[in-house]
Amino acid sequence: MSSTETRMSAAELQEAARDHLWLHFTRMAGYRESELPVIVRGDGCYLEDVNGKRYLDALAGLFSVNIGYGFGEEIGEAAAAQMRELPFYINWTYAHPRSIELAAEVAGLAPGDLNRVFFVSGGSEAVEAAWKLARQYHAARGERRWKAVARRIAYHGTTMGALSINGIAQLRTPFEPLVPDVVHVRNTNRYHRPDGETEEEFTAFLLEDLESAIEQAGTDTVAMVIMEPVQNAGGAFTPPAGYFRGVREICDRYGILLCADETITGFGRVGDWFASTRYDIRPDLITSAKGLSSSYGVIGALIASDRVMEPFLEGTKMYAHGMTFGGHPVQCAVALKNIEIMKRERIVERVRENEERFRRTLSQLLELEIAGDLRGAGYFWALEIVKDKATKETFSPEECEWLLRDFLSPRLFERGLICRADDRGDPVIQISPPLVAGPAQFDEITGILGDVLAEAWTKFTSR
Amino acid sequence: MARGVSGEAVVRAHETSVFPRELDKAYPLIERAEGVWLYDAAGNAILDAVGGGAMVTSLGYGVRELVEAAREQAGRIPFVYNLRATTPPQERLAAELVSIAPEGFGRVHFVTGGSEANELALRLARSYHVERGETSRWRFVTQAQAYHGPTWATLALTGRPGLQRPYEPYLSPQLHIPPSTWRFDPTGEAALEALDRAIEEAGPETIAAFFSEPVSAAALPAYSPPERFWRGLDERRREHGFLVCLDEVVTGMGRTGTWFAADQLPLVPDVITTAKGLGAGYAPIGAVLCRDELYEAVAAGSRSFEHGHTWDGAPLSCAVALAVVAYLKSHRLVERVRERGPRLREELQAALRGSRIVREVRGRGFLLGIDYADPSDGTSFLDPALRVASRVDEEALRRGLLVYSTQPTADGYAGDQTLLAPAFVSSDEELALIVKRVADTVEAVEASLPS
Repeated sequence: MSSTETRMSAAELQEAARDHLWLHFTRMAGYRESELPVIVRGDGCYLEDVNGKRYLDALAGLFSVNIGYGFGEEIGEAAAAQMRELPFYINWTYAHPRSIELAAEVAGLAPGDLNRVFFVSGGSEAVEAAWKLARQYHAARGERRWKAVARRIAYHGTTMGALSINGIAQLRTPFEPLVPDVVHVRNTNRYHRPDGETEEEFTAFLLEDLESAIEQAGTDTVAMVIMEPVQNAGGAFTPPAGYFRGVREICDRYGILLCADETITGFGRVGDWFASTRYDIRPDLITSAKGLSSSYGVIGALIASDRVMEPFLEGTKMYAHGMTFGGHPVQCAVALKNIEIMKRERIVERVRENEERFRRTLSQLLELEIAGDLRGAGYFWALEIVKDKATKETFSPEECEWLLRDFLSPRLFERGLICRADDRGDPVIQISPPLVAGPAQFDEITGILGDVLAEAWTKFTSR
Repeated sequence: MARGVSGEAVVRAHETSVFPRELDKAYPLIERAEGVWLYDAAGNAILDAVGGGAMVTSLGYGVRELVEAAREQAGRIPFVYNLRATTPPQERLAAELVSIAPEGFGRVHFVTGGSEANELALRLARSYHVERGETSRWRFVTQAQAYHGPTWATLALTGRPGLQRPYEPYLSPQLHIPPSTWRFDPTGEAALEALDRAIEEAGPETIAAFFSEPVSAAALPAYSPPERFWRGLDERRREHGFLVCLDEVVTGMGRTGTWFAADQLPLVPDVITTAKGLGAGYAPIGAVLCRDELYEAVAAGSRSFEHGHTWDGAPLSCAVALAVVAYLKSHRLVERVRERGPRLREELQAALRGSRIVREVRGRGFLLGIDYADPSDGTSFLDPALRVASRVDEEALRRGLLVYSTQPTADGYAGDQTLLAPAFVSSDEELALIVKRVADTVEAVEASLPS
């Protein structure tokens, strides 16, 4: 097909999409008959589709548009200026001012001695780079370690290395054989733990599981433990008290690098520039992406501590990894401007200030029969839905299919609320709006969700 | 001058041209054997309580019928490649094995030993799924402590870090669940939970087979998971569509008192491998038996099962194995093992009752295991630094007894243990002598331990 000179009409867009666009993680058959939502513009926390319908985006794109949709003009200017000055140059052997400035900026925001920044183009690439770096770090010190330890149901990306780290079997199995030797341990889902178990006992239980998995794998073969500070898949699993202190101790005991995957939690999502600061994780590596540019650009980063960098500062050693677009000047300019806006607008501080109000508003949903558990932090929440509140019984796969795909998703869409109904673990509604959302949006989200979930329960019980 | 021909009764690594398995060990130079007795170069007699050291010589030594069968077949035709031709011994042996195998097992493929049998079983299980279009099934689940062989693929089946470590990461990543021993999981429920989690995490559509010994030999002497585990495994097999392969390399051919130990389990497996007792030490031979359904999948699919080693199904080996089966039948030896086994276990239990380090004496037929524990609490493993397993083997040999002790493993699933697998033809006097020498050995080792 020849390229189109003029803009397409709504109908033409539908037709062209149906013929040519391959959507990510999407059952394409669903759009053979029904219309594909086409989003044309955004402002603040809101989006508008090609038909003029407005949506409250309670998912911030994909946990990523942290500053909301209203800064296109300002960031666009920064991108254009960079385009005029230097549209592209690489970051191997040479560098350019924007990558250097952004590296210094990110190092300043990162906790502790995480002072070295390796740029990539997204979260998967950052995770990929972390595992490779961990292997090479140990090799540079004369140790042959290659295994990774991650948590069950955790999502870490889609490229082969990152995919292998994923704790979600359904995503992995179609692509086997994968990169071998990833061990999966328990995540911090506390909702389904036995009644009466204290937080302290829960932490001890998790740490024992982690340590025995590492022992079983061979303590001197494990290169890296990778965890999200708050695990997204499964629904905003926050760490119990003492958990990350214990994880850090175990990693230290066996000489394993600890990587905090902050693809989602980095840049304000839970009220700190990095969640590692909030939870005092003290990682050796941080992977970051989405919020780094608020998705106005295509950029991610692997941030390493001085200790990890050290072996690479000697002799002929180098980290044998890189990509053309890593640290692209335009993407760096966008990220720099994003950080500048976040600081100017006090966005991270506001998340902390609003957290309690947001939680309180959402917790009204717990009065619903179907709402089992509300968990999360900052602007990162999940509501677990259950069949029986008393027993915490979850829905069967068939029931989930009906509830999430046949009912909730289309009805929420109808009501103009974008959030995610996810059943990679037990079914949850994920709520993660742009960080510029305020009490008005908290109320709106809660109101729509309350209506739709109440209706879902009525429909489900009379099914 | 060539080494190892000095006329000494032992051979050490620096004295030989052989590349030995343990370089610090003085190997007794065994020159001949008769019945259940081995004789070294100095004329010392060693009572063999473990089938030539590896649960192999279940009929003892110097069995005239076996020697004769080998001599006769070697003269007639020792070898012709089974890709090109078949022979009467192979045909007859296959028919014999089918007649003693569990109901529904209609096909046999011969190999030359236990590792090869397990290797073949892996390929057969995988092939079965591929032939049926389920190409995503490639993973095998085993009990962590299990041992299924030292070849590249069978080594991947074990979950023992100590054995695997030097070859990582180049072994295929298989799944392991903890064994349900009395220490950790007496009911089998924890193992089933671990199995469920492993299946769920890996994706049920990726599981090819569960692989296990019905009664463990060297790994966990004479241990078998509780009945609940086997029933639960059967349920999961039906639910998820994987196969169950039983490694009967040791237990096959009567060792536990039935032709196959599978006969004593509450589930029928899909594949059985066997080896050691099939040739009883007179020929290197192993076999893989499968249910008709597996054969039918190949028959309805590619019609080819390409897996061959030169000596697979060789007439010489098959003729010896035929003579083994005939001897087992004519002397009613499987029945003898079944009837005599429980009493042998009781005799051993009685003889070891006074020991402080013996926690448990287990047994099925003529496969017996002694499990040691720390006397301070009766449960913990003995300190590996005490080297109890090695000392038992050394002390036994000093007393003219050959046994097989299992070293403690680093993963914490097994401590020091001793395995006994006497020949089925051992007389009551010889069995009594084995029991006495074992008890004396354990007593001497115990006395030598720091208190």
